[in-house]
Amino acid sequence: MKDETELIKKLKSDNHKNEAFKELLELYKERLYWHIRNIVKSHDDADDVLQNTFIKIFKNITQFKGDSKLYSWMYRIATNEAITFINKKAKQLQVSNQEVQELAINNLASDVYFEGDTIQLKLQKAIATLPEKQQLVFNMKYFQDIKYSEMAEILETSEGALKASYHIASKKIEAYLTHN
Amino acid sequence: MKNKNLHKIKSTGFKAPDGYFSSFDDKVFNKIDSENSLNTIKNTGFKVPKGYFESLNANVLFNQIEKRESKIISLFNKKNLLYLSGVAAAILLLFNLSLFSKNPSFDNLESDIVENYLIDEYFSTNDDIAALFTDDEIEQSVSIDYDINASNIEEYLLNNADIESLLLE
Repeated sequence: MKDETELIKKLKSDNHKNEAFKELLELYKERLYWHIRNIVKSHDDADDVLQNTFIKIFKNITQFKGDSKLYSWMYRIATNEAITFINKKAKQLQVSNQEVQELAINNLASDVYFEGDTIQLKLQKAIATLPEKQQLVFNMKYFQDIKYSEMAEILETSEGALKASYHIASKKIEAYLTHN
Repeated sequence: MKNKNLHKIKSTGFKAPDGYFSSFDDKVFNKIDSENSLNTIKNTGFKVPKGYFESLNANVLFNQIEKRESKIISLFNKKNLLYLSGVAAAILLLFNLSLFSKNPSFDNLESDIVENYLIDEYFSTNDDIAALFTDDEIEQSVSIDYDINASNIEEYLLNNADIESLLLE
């Protein structure tokens, strides 16, 4: 906790900003990458969103008030950036958000950066059938094993609601995998 | 048995390109630098003459203010008087001119002016002129009997036509 306060102080200073930002990148880039990748599916899109996320963090760090942890603030930016990205893509292609995800999943079979087998591909298809919030909760809990308390800060939802969401999501996915 | 299928899957199957994370920092910094090229410009480039600020002390400034305050501009100087009399003359002239004096009436309209106005402004085609006349009036003017007999034609040709050139052709 002390380290985080120190890091935030450096990030807000003029002299040590770049040095502290490097540290921040080192600490969080991989975690945020996988979080984004689970939402947008393709590596190229995840790369775009991750860059935008860190640039937003760099530009807005002075406005970070410390009401929440730096980690959850960054996750929140990454989540918003990824969802905005999908919304923009849907608008460009004039299709729904769900169709954008279906398109991304259909491309996975030929994606060199997807090495999953048929069951993993089927899981991605199953996740895509869920509402947006349930998708987020499922990905964050199942693949990233983020604590409910942290998830509650990131998604600004109560822990109870998140637990219920996760329960419903895994039931739906189980049913999908059994029947398809 | 619960969630049997789901529990078999331990990862998403996604992978990142080799060396992606090690080169990511540079990519972000380059992007930040390119977006912040404005930040690299630290000053405007303007310079002040040497010793300018030393010469700009309070005494000098006070002297300047006093000098400026002592100047009084009279309201009735030559320039203002000329200007005001010009405006007054213009107003007088406006009322003396016929512009506002009388309403135009048909009695004092000259027929030439009306005719020119009609030709220039009003009628663009013959149909516009024809619309002003009744059918009877038009028929009357069309069926005028012209007095065309042999002696009249002969006289006209003798006076006006170049008979020699006609014969040559």
